[in-house]
Amino acid sequence: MSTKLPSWLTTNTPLPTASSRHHFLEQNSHRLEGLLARFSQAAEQAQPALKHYLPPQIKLLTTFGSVLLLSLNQNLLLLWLILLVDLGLLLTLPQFYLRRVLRQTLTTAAMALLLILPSLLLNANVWLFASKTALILLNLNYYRTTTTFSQVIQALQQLHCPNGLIFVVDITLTYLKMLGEFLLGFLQAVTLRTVGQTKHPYRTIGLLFGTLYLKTRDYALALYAAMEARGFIGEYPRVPRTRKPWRDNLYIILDLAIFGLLFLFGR
Amino acid sequence: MSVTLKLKQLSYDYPNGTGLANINLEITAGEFVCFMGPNGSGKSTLFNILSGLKVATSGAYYFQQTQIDASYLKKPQQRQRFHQQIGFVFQNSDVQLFNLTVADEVAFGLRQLPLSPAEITQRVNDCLELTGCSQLRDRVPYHLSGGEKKRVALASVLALNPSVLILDEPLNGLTPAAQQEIRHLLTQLQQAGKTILIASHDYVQIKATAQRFIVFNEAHQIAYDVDQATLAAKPELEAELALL
Repeated sequence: MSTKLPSWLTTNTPLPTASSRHHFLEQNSHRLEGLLARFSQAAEQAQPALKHYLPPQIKLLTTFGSVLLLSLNQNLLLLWLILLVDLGLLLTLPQFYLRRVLRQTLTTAAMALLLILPSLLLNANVWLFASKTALILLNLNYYRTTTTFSQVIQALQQLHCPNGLIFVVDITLTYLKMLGEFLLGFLQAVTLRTVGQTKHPYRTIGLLFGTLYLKTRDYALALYAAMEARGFIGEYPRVPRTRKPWRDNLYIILDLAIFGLLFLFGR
Repeated sequence: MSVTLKLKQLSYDYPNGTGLANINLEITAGEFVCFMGPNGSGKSTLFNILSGLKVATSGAYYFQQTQIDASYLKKPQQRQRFHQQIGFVFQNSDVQLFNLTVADEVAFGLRQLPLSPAEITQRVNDCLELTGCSQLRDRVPYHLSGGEKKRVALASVLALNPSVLILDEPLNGLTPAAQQEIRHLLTQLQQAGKTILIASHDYVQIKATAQRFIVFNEAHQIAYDVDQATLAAKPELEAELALL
């Protein structure tokens, strides 16, 4: 190591700058940061937990059932009934979750409406399709907002899904989060070190993704080794069931009733 | 000496809680300040704000009398000039290095400026020499050890000759000899007029080097703001810092 500073480092004169435009990576780093914050479910973690709410496996089953019903059925009465059940569920949600579900549903439904706008102008029957889409989005947003990733894994365990499937979902979620955080760190580093005109911005993107690939590989090996070291043999133990089954039963009865009505009116 | 960094009633909120609460702070040009505090007390958040990676939720941040806010950082030329004057070495140097060789890594920022190739080469060589990385110049940064990565990250930041250097736990992962060398280099930079802001958990390691100690508490506020002389006169406070 040299002990004497070079002369250029002993002054505080800034270097000449080159004119430049917005950098693709800089433009997107804030957007990615927001996306990652949403993905880590930090906001949800700060809210009162929905601990004594419906168990995740019941929610997974009923969401799947509702989406299936809505996709297959053309009966308007049934749509009203599903909407009624959904609104009932929304009413039980705390304010934070209620706002979030409604905001996301309205935004995604508006986007969907925009996509089918040409058909809407040509054919009045498209309204039924639009309503069904909005209801499907409401169900999906409800599930997404009220269920954390660990609860999704828990639901798969309770539903006796194969360990291989649970492992794949679990690892995928972990990787996505970890790689997203790494990518964000890279983007921040690039932002800080972008002090002028980058001659080859796409080369930088290539370098970032190359490094990210190496990280993924190393992380995968290290993670599996760590899991094995802690006794993981490829099996996920099931957590004990909820102690308040009346809620689950009520919700299942409601769903079964809707399914029954489908057969009654759907003929 | 003029005030180079000033924070006025600055707060930062994360979606899941407070990051910083009502921080008032003035740092003079050429100071060597050490930030201490428990994990999650707000040191890294403060560094992110000072380097322009995050914008305060409320309050104001001034760098050389210019308010640094979202509208200031939105303009590319202003933002780039600001980033050129504030060098930031991350706690995790892994994400700071992405080029194919160490020499490319150090030259990354310089190549964006209207400098001659000879000047770029000179600066790269100087920085590698200063940080003890000359023998690493053709190595791939990804395959370096943790300590080597820290030194390369420091070299790549120094190449742009920033007036303020922010280092988030720069001595972690270094051998005692390398720590001594980096501390010596930082002292030299401070004597050359650079403002040095460092985060550390190791008071013993840094007590002879830093001039001022700012300690955060778990409420994300400044608990103490004391200089070296005051600390030397208060052994109980020194003992408290040694445990952080």
